[in-house]
Amino acid sequence: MPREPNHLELLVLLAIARLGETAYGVTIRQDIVACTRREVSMAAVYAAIERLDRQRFIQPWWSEPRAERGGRARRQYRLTADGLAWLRRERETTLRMWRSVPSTGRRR
Amino acid sequence: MNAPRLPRRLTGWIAPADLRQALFDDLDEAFVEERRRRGPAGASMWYWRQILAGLLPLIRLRARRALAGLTPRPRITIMHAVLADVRYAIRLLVKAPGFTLPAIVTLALGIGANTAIFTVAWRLILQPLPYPSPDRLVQIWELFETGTVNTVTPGNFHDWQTQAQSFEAIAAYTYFRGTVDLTGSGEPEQLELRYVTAEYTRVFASAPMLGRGLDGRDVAEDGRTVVISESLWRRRFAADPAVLGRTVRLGDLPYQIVGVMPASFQTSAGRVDVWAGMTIRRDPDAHRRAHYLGVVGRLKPGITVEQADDEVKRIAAEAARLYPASNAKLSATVRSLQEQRAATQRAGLAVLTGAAGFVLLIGCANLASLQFVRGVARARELGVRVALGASRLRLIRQLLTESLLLSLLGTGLGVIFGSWLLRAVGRVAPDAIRRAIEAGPDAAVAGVGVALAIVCTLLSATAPAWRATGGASTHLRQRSVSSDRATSRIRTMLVTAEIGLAIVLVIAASLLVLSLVKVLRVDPGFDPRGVLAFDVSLPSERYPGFSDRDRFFKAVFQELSAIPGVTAVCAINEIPFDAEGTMTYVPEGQTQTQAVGALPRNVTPDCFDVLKLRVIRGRSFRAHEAARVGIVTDNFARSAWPGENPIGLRVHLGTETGDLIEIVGVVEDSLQRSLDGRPAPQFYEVMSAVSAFPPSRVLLRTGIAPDSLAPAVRAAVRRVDPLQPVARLRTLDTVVGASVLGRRFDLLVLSSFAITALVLAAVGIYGLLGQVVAQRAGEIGIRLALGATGGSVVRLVMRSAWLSVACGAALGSAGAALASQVLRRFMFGVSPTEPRLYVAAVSVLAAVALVAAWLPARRAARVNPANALK
Repeated sequence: MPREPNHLELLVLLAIARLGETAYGVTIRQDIVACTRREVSMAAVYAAIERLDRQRFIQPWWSEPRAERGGRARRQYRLTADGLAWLRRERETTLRMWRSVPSTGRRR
Repeated sequence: MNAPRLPRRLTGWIAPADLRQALFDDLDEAFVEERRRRGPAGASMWYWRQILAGLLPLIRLRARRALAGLTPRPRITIMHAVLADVRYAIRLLVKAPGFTLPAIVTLALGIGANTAIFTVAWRLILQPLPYPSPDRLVQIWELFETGTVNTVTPGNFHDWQTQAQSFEAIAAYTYFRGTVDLTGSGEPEQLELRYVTAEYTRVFASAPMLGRGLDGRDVAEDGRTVVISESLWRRRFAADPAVLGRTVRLGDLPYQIVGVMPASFQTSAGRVDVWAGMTIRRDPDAHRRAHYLGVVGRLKPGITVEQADDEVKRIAAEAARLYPASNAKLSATVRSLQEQRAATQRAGLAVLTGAAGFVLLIGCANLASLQFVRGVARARELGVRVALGASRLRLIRQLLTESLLLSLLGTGLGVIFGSWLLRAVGRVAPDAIRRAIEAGPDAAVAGVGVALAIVCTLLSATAPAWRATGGASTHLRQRSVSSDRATSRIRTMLVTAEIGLAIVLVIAASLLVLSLVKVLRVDPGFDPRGVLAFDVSLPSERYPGFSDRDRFFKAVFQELSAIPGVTAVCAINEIPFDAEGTMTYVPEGQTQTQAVGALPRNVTPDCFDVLKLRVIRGRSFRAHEAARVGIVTDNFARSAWPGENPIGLRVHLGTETGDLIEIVGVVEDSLQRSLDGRPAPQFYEVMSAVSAFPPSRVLLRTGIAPDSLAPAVRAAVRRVDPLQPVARLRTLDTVVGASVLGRRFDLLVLSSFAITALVLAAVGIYGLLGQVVAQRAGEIGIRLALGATGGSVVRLVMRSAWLSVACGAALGSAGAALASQVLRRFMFGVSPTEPRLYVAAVSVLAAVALVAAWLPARRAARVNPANALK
């Protein structure tokens, strides 16, 4: 039984969803760092990607060969239908939970 | 400026190979961006942090991968992978018929031979008897000091039944063949009858199909009830369920049918149509002298055969003390029925199973050899797959899947071939084996087929698959010569082994062929050609006395003699090769210890003319003998009165006090049991009012084919007595032939295995040289271009075969010398190490090998140098 994605995996998945066709290691990490304002290692991103891939939430694909990478292709990622469906479910669950949280909570 | 090298190397060790490059490229891209934002030093710091923080996730990733490799992946299940493998394998096998067909045929031959033999062995040896708790069923025999077992006297049976504690039930039945005529509606028919005591059904605990089994009610003197067999029920009563309570006329007396026993109730001793009850009477004369009972028992739970054996031995010892006259030299023994059934067939089947195993081994060697070649041919394909990331295990799995598929195809074909083989040999098989064959294949046989397929796969494909997938990097290069050479070395060894195994089988088969030829050449003494035999029962109800029977025979002889082509007719109590009990004869003036055991033969006077037995001393029988006279065989005379002329001497029949009979002639010895046995002494006496063995068989000699007389013979007997069935009408030739059926069967099966082995070995040699030619095509082309003749090329190629043939022949001959020791008991008039045979077998194999090697060699000689060198 595949386990539920952890927090970082959720972030990677969201980043891929946001980035669309331009999602690859560099952009995903950048996106996460920009949004969370926390440093994340590339390797951790890769590990998350690997797990999401195994769960078939994302699908890797190879870009055209690129000059800036010494003629090698980028390993890019796109969301699969499963991944998208899981993201939607996750969002609805979270929103439902938020609805009954009292709004007196401390604000930043 | 580039990213720092050191941390990169650190990551390089840990990151998995497939991700490494992409990770570095991504890091480099990000590094460029960082440098723009933070300057070189900051970027360098950033890079270090990236690497160090990444170590743990990378290690975890690798650990997860390692774990995932051990457990099934979530989506690609094993089933999916296997199905994909199977699909791929089918495509490949269809694409390479040159490999697939020989492989499947090879397997079919090997597996067919094995399932066929296993079918027989399963039925006769391994399958439990068709009764509840069959392991508790035993047979109890009298046991002589010499270790031979004997049928039982009523007295001994009574002792065991009343005293033994080991048995839940113990029952006796008439051991020797008994018949009774079924008359009334339809053609009269002679039925096989067995009298049994009340406990018989209880011993076997076999439920009747209809009605009830025999019990205490049926054994009374005047109890006229019978239980019939399933086959009689179908044959004569159209499987009518209302048969119960119906009355049938058996031997002119009315009997009521009370039950029908299922087909499985038949024992291996032969067909029984009717069971009737009997009680053991205390007949003072026969009680401890007449050995005519078979005794079976059911052990109490927890009692072993050995314990029961001890107990009956104790009872027998007590009997020996109480009745020294009859029991002094008699002990008793208990044997498991299952074991007993197996024992008679085990030796022959063991040999055939061994031979079938050889065929399978040869087949596997061939298959392995084919696989090696295929491995070389597929080196490119496998290399590409390795380059694309397939693991060695993955490739081996693929190759094994292919082999398993092949094996299963081969098994399917093999089972068909095996059942065909069985049907073919079934026609000449001895009774017990034929019954086993006719029962048809069952789940056990299919299971063994599949098991064999798996064994074949493992034997023939593991090593080639291991080799073919090793050293993947070399596969993509030009075909590596050294790996080819190693492969062909292994194949040479395989072919050598095949030749050796084939030689063993060929020699074993020819030993049996030679034995059979010698046996068939044996002159039985009498002349069975042109003799027809049949049985008549002459029930005592219609033929109470000697004169009635005499009248019947005289009338029948008159009718039979009138049939054109019939030259002589006689009646006899037992025909040759159908003989059972012997009788003792005590020469006058000697004691019981000098008694001669001989087959009693009560005949009508023309008997020696019918059998063409020469009277070598004295005279033959006259039509009317004034006194009771006998004629003995030469070996009888020699053992009773060594060096004396027996004419005019007298013998007591049975015991020292028995009737005295004068010897008037000596007839030549003749075989009476089997062609490979020794002549049994015989004592001939003319049928008379006092003779103890009334004739019930008629023999007639004709100048024409005896089979064609059957309708005329039946009509002749019907004219004399319409109620008298003509039973077991057969030629004496068939009776004699039946004695070599077992030998013929073993021979036929073993020969077919030997031929199969030869063919497989030839295919092996052919394949090996074919590969040699393919490998050396370039070299051969150069030789031809430089002026080598076709002949020298043929020699060159064939040279690579001679070593395997020579080694194989030497090993095979040695193996055959060992194997022939096992065959000793099946051989007749042949030495197991007959040198001519070995030379012949090796020559045959060499000739076959020569042809198999010559075909590819010729192809090599025709290589076009221009093509080969391209």
